[in-house]
Amino acid sequence: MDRLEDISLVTQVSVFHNQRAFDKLMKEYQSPVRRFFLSQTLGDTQLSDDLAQDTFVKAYTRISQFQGKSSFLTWLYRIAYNVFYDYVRANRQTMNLDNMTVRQINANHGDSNLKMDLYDALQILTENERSCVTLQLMEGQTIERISEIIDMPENTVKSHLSRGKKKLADYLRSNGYK
Amino acid sequence: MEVDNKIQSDDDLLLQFFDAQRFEIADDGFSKRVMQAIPQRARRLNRIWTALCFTVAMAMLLFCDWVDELRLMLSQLIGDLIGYLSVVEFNLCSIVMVLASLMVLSTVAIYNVLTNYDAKL
Repeated sequence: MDRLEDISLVTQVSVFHNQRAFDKLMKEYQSPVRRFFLSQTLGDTQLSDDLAQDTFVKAYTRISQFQGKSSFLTWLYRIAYNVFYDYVRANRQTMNLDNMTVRQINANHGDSNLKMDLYDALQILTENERSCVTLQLMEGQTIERISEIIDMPENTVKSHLSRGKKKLADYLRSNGYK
Repeated sequence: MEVDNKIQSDDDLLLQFFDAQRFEIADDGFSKRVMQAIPQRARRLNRIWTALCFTVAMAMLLFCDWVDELRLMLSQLIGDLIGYLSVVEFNLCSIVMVLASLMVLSTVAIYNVLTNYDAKL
């Protein structure tokens, strides 16, 4: 779907409240948004779908705020990122306990587990590193766009990317990837 | 992924890893669940806003003497349309073709209304 088509559909939703147009936008972009949440939640399908649903409902109710300066997908990622961090802030204590459990489970896999899961690798990163790395390597966003999505300066994004990539590459190599 | 590949840089290694892990997620009723979750308040506000705009437009039409201007405009439009139709050569297209075109347009309109109704459900 090109940018003009996106803007045309957004206009139909914003001006005429055309739910069929919103349905079309959602069908086009549900996959990248849900995949983004899967990476952030380390593969929790139920939680990812709940957060993605929250993202699209927010996008519908605030669609008149979309100004078309960036692509519709970038705008969606920005909402998704805020939805996720609202969730993290509200559940900080529970999430820390969950992450510790995940790390303990994964520690038992041992170095021989070559066909490791993506989420096993992502769980060694901090939340900001994970967001930056997945937005760039999984979702193909540029540093400029990532900076816009997570509302951080480009240099900060570059630092998160550099540290995150180094950690991931070391982790993959120590698990048999060359 | 073949672990024997000679990969020089971290970026190459990560690109290869993420390329292998990228996948598309099927909708599987997700869009339908979102449409059902859209708050009734948002829909109600939209309807109220539309009704308000319509009422203001009607009020301006009545109180600002736009009815006469509108009537004049419509009569000019109809006059132009009749004038245009009177010079059209009907020898080139039969009445069957005109009816067929009307039927196609009606079918498309009905389809649009029905799919819009389905999307609302």
